Amino acid sequence: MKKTLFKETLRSISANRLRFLSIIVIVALGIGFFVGIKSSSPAMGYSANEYFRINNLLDVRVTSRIAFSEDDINKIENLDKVDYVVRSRFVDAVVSVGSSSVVSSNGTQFICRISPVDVDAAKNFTETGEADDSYVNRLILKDGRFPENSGECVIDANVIKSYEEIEIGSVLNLDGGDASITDSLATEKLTIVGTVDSPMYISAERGTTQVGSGALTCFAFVGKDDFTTKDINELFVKIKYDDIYDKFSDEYKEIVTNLGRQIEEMSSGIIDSKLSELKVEYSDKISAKKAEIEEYNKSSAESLVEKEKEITDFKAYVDGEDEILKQQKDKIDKEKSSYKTSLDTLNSQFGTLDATYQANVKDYESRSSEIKGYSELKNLYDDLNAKHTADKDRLEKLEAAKTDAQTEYDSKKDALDTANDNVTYYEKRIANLTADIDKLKDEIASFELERQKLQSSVNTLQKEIDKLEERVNVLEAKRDEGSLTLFELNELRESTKSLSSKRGEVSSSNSRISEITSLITKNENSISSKQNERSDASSSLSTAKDSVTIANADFTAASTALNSAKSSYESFKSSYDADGATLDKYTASMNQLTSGQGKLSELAKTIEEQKAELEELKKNITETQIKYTLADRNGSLSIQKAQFDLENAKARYHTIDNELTELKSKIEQKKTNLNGDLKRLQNTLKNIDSITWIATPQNKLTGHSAFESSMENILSMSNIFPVIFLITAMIACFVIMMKNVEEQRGSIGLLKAFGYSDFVIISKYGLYAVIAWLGGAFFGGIFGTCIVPSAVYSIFDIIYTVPNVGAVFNFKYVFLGLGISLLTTFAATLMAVVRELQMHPAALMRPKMIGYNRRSLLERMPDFWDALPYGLVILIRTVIRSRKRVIVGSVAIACCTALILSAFGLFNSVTDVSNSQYGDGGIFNYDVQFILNAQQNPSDSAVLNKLRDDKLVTSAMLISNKSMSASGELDRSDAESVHVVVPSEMANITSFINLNVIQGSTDLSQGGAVITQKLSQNLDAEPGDVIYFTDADEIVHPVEVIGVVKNYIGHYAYISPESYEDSFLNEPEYKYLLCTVKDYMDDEEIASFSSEYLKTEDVSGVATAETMSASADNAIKQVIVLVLLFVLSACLLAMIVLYTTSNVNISERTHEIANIKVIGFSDGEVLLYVIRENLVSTVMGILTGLVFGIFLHNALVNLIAVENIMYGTSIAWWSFIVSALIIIGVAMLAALPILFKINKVDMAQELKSIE
Amino acid sequence: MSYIEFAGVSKIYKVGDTEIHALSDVSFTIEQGEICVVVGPSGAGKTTLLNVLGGMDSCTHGQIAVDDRIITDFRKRSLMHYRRDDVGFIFQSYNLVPNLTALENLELVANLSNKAVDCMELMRLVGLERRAHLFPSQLSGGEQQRVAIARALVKKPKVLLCDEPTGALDYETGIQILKLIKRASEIMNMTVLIITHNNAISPIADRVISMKSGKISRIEINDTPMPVERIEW
Repeated sequence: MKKTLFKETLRSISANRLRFLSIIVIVALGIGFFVGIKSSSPAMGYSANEYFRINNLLDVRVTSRIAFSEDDINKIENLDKVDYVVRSRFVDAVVSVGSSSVVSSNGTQFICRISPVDVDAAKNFTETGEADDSYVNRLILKDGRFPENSGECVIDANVIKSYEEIEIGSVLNLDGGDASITDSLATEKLTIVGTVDSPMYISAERGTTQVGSGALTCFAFVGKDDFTTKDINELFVKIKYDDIYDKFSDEYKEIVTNLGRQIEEMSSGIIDSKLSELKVEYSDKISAKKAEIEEYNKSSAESLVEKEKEITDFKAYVDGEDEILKQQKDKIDKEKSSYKTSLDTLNSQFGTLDATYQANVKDYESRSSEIKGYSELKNLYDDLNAKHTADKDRLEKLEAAKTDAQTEYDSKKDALDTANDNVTYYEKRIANLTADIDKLKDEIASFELERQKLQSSVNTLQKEIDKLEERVNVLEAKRDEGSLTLFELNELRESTKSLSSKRGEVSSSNSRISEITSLITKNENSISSKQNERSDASSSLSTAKDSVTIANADFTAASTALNSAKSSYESFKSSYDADGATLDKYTASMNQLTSGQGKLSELAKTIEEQKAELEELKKNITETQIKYTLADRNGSLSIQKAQFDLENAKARYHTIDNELTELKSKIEQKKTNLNGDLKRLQNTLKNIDSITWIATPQNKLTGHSAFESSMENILSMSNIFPVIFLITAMIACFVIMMKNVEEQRGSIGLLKAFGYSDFVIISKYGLYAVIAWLGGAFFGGIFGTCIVPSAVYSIFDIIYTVPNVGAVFNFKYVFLGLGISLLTTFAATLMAVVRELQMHPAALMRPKMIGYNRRSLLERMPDFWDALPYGLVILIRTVIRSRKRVIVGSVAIACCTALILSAFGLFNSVTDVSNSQYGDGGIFNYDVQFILNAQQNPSDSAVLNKLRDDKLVTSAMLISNKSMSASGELDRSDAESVHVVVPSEMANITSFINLNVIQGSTDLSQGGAVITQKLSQNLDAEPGDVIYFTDADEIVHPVEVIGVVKNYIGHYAYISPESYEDSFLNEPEYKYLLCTVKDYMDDEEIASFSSEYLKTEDVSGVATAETMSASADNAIKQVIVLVLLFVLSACLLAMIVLYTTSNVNISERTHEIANIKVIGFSDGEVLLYVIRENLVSTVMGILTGLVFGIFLHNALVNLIAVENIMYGTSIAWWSFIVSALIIIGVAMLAALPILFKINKVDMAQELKSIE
Repeated sequence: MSYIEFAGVSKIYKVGDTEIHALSDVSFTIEQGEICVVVGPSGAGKTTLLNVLGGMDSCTHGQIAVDDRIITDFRKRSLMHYRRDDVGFIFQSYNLVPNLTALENLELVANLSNKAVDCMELMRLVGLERRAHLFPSQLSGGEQQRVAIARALVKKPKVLLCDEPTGALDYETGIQILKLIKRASEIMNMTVLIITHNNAISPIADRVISMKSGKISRIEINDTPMPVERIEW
């Protein structure tokens, strides 16, 4: 490649560092997960193999109930494939610490397997890491030191972790059960001085034992010298094939399995002779036992007969006593009854008489009290009578006063009337006078008027006269002069004539005037006289009025006095009359009483007579009473004595009877024990034929097959999980690379236009892809080989003690991952470049055409399309336009959501387990499980009865619980450790254990076993199938499965007592007691309640639901690590995919962004506009992811399943919400850098015109 | 006071150590409703002038006032609103959103504005009502530019800024576009600023500003603008 082009490539990387980095991270994550989880399983295998190799783990373990002889061992050593054989021995014991026994975490007895260890070799190995070949199953010292003195031991490190009461320094008390510990060990007490892991036990399971409940809880090692027995019962065989490194390989498994079978087959020949010896021994033992039973039966029968005779004899005596008592009782009763009869007669007589007497007395008393009433009445009468007489006088006085008042009243009334008449008279007179005066005045007025008239006419006439006189004088003068004319003469005449008439007239008028004047004067005089008269009358009137006022006052006073006199008289009169009436009544009563007096004295006499009679009777009665009492007392004394004698006799009889019963039950018990012994002996004898050596190849050791299946689980998980991851990453990578090239189409066109060959151009972009891929591959390789397997391993670290050896660089998977990622990155680039290169340079340099054929189907329905809101239109168009990115985005998001959800679901499933098993409403309803010292009889158990009487207890029941191994196939290839539980009361089992049926029925009474779900799955056993239980004696018992029930922790089989006996040829041993307490008790109260019972001698251990649940919890909590790993990487992947897709989106659309920014979109609106399709793909991804996650979770739960734990398959609702929220948060985080980028888009630059 | 006022506006780009004076001390005024043509050769600073006036870029010195508001004092958010409400842009390269139809391109803007004109009405105004539902790539250049004009007019801007609106078009179409701009200016009483290197357009303007290397060389006021049909190039 040309140097400049190379430079350009490098520059294009640094120009967009973030995108380049994202590609690297995506590739790294994809490869890392793929390689990491793929190589987890091989890494586990490698670690385990290293562990087995370094610690020189046995290849085949051989055990026998009959000690191996040197001869036997030589025979084994001489086998073809055997390299060498190490001799060992063990003894199993029930362990207690201090005074109380320890309870194992599943509620059964705590049983420890004790073996010897070569302390020097062990120390040497611990210090130097080197040891002789003969030191097999080398111990890893975890804490403390190896035993140095007798009585010291190192113990299972697991125990110290799980049991608070056991620690370094604790002293273990050992109880060997049937066999004595001291037969094999020098001591019964062991002091813990250290803790160890043994490569024989890589899981928490410890296998089975013949002691106690059958499940081994832990192991311990003591110094060789502490074993006193020289019997060898355990051999560790090492094979020759050192070159077979992988202990999980089929080749190795075949060799050890065949060797084991060979040894077992060999044993039948070798130990047959021993067996016949053993048979003889057992036959002898059986005959001895039989003889003993016979003997015992005889002796017991004798003592029983003796006892029975004694009791019969005594019975006769008791009966005699009883007869005497009866006779005595009869005699006394007769005497008593005769007295009693006479006493009764007397009493009744007395009673009748007394009654009459009492009645008479009562009558007398009432009458005499009445008489007493008479005098009282008389007194009343006298008082009233006196008062009445006095009152009469007063009444008369009052009457007189009333008459006086009446008289006074009448006189006053007359006076008033007179006065009133006076007033009326004067008033009338005044009125008359006034009328007269008025009349006179009127007359005067008319006279005046006339006089005036006359006067005025006189005046007129006078004037006329004056004129005429004047004329006349004139005329006369003329005449006198003689100048008088005829006419004037006439006139003179006339005038003189008129003058005279007129003068007459005047004089008559004057006379009239004087007449009138006199008349007026006369009238005026009469007026004044009348007025005087009137004023006199007026004064008389006022005097009369005054006297009326006075008379009126007097009258009023008199009237009042009269009224009061009247009323006082009336009132007094009425009370006086009432008194009179009362007096009459009194008189009537008094008359009546006087007649009663006679009768009373008669009655008094009768009473006296009766009293005397009664006295007589009373005396009689007292006498008879005394006689009766005497007879009674004497009689009861003698009876008491007789009764006392009888009681004594009876008590004695009961004692003897009890003795008899006790004897009988003792005999019964002894017989049962003897018969049990016999039966056991017979069973053993019967089973002696099946005793063989038991050879366990390495891959069948407890926990080894579980480890292997865990490895397989991880392997199958790695086929799903990281593949999804890788695919997601690769899709994202593919799209990014494609886009990357598309974005560069301009420069591709340019290069092409310059004349660069296609190859050079392809290699330019190929180089970019390869550099990115290399980076991713490098980091992914480191991540995948170092971090992921460790994280995965950390989960199995809880379950297995195999140490993590470290990273295994697994070339196969690394190269596979690298290949896939290279292919996708490179192929994407190649495809894109080639596609672009097919175009002409000119077309490349033009912006890519956006085809108008991208109308969606919806748009072809205009009615519908136009009705859509604008935002939705844009959304749909954007999604369709960038459908490729939307699909990739939602696939990636869906995968991430599914991963996160399944991780949380896993967490739910795991944390749910102990609660579902032990919590409220879980499988185990009981609150406390007591472990008893010895098996008890359900019908007659002291502890059970005591518990049932306890107020705090709601119910209690005995059960039997035996650990056995169960398998679906006769060859025991799929053996699982199972608790076989037998309830003593079939009907009550559901109040302690919830049998939630999944398949078949839970009706135990029909025979057969109900097994738990996980067991049914592991053994592939369904109702109707037969499974095979192998007990500690290695005897196989086929049992039919009738039902499958829910269960979460451990395997259980529930069987009825009858079918247990039928199937297992043994009676169930009721050594466990389940107990539920009252609901209101809290954990603390339950703990104190149970420790209370722990003190009673029958109880040896207690396990509460609380403690069992807690220990179950501990074991599974660390799954969180895995959850965290999944969640974090899924988040990272989601974020990068989202960021990168939107980043690509943005660089492709800067022009558009500038465009809408210029239009006036705010940054937030621009962001929304740009990441619309991210929103769509996020929402779509989350929804599909949640659905997908449910399936993924189901698959995961099935894959990681530990053999005896049933994980819940439901996911809590909050897990869905949290998963969705995480993805939303991640999406928001991924959008942040885009926001910055939007902010940075330079509008002016982007939209610049081409000038 | 004039409607648009530039007072001593300078724009200096710094590229490394060298300073490029895109605008140096530019002052001029434009009255409301005027059509103003800015002419000058490439690199004369015409586009920078348009960018700072449109609020797409800031100036280094000086003040710009539009309608009595000093936009050079605006902060980012106010500038955004200024662009959103007061300014319409028309570009030489149309700059339509490619995945929206013509009508939807208008609606995109109408959704932001509360004084928006009916979009279909505008399409009718620019004579494209029959092509409203086509995508930009289905339209000719002249049609796209008409859509762009309609889009600028949707929000009834106070100022219409046109950057070489006829630059990518033939003569006939160019005349059509100019006629449309002039008519819109008359109808809406809009102040229009046209940037061009084509001197032939000058006669239609009320005011012609000639620029040369970041400075104004001449301002010419034309009392009798020529009708668009009569210009030729």
